Amino acid sequence: MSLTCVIVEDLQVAADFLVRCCQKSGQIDVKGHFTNAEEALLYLNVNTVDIIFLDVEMPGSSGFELLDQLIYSPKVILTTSKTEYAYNAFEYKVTDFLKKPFTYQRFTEAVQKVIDAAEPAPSNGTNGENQGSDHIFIKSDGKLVRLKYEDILYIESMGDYVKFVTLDKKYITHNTIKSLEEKVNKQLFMKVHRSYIINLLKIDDIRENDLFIKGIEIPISKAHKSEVLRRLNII
Amino acid sequence: MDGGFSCEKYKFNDKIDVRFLHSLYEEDYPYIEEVFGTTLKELTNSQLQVDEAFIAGDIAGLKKYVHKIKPSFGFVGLMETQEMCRNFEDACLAATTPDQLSIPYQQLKSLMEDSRKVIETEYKKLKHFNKGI
Repeated sequence: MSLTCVIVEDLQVAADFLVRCCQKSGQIDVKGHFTNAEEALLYLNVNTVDIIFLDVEMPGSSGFELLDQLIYSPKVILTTSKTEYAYNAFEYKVTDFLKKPFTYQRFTEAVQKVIDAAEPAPSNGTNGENQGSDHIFIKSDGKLVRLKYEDILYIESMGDYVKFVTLDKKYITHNTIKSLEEKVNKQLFMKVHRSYIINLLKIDDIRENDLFIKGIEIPISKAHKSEVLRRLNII
Repeated sequence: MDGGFSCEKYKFNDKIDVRFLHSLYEEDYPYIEEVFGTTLKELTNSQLQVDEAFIAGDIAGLKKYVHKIKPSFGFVGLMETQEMCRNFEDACLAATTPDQLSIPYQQLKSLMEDSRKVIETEYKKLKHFNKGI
């Protein structure tokens, strides 16, 4: 099993030791080391990891404040020299608690707990299992926003980002049309162009190679046109 | 301090808990040297922060910086110093005025300074030892 992690730790000797433990385990790929919560958050807002090795007391925001701002939930192993955080650790559903300095044996026990409790890691921007659900969660403006499928008009590509358009709002999130195509409810949504996924129930009319949703013109590519027409309830 | 644990290859200072050190790093002496070197660098700055907080009468800052420095001693097997830091954190919690911390602070400062010297000497010894491997 291969896991990814970041280390958020301001004590260099502790961070170095964690890197060494990860390398020794042969199971954990260290994606980054950050000495404060702010830098870690910048990374974690656009990258997902399986584990955060997290110190609590650091310059600036605390480890718990970092967890408050995270919009997904990787497994957390606290690395601290204080035992007073046990209650907070419980509240934040922390997987384990490594009291510094800890041994490699203790480290492997903590990692094993993560493996035992492993769940599929969420992908950027959405929560994955959406085929039977009536909603999707997206990351936008530092929040995890719940969008009902029935409220989404269409999704538009913006390079490395996509725009979810509802009747009264637009939400921009880091994702791609290609990735979303696999994740949204396929009964309701359909890719009609390399830059657009539309809600089939929201189409007002189709003219030539364009469809219209609430007055917005959306192109239909040649490759998708026959499938669009097939999916419509034409009498 | 080493509880009867002995290592034929290298003789650590008696203040260092060798058994604990080996439980962390086994007998990887080049890495142990690295740990002592990194710790030495970090201690210089951290001790300064502790001193500044004491001079400023900043109890919360004092507790914070001693808390930060505490595991550094553990990583080099100086368990007594680590324990002293823990006790000092408790004293900070109980203190209502900086004056109440004067004596425990002087005791801690003295122990930390001795510990820093032990780490410095050990680092030099390890460097020499590892060159000979």
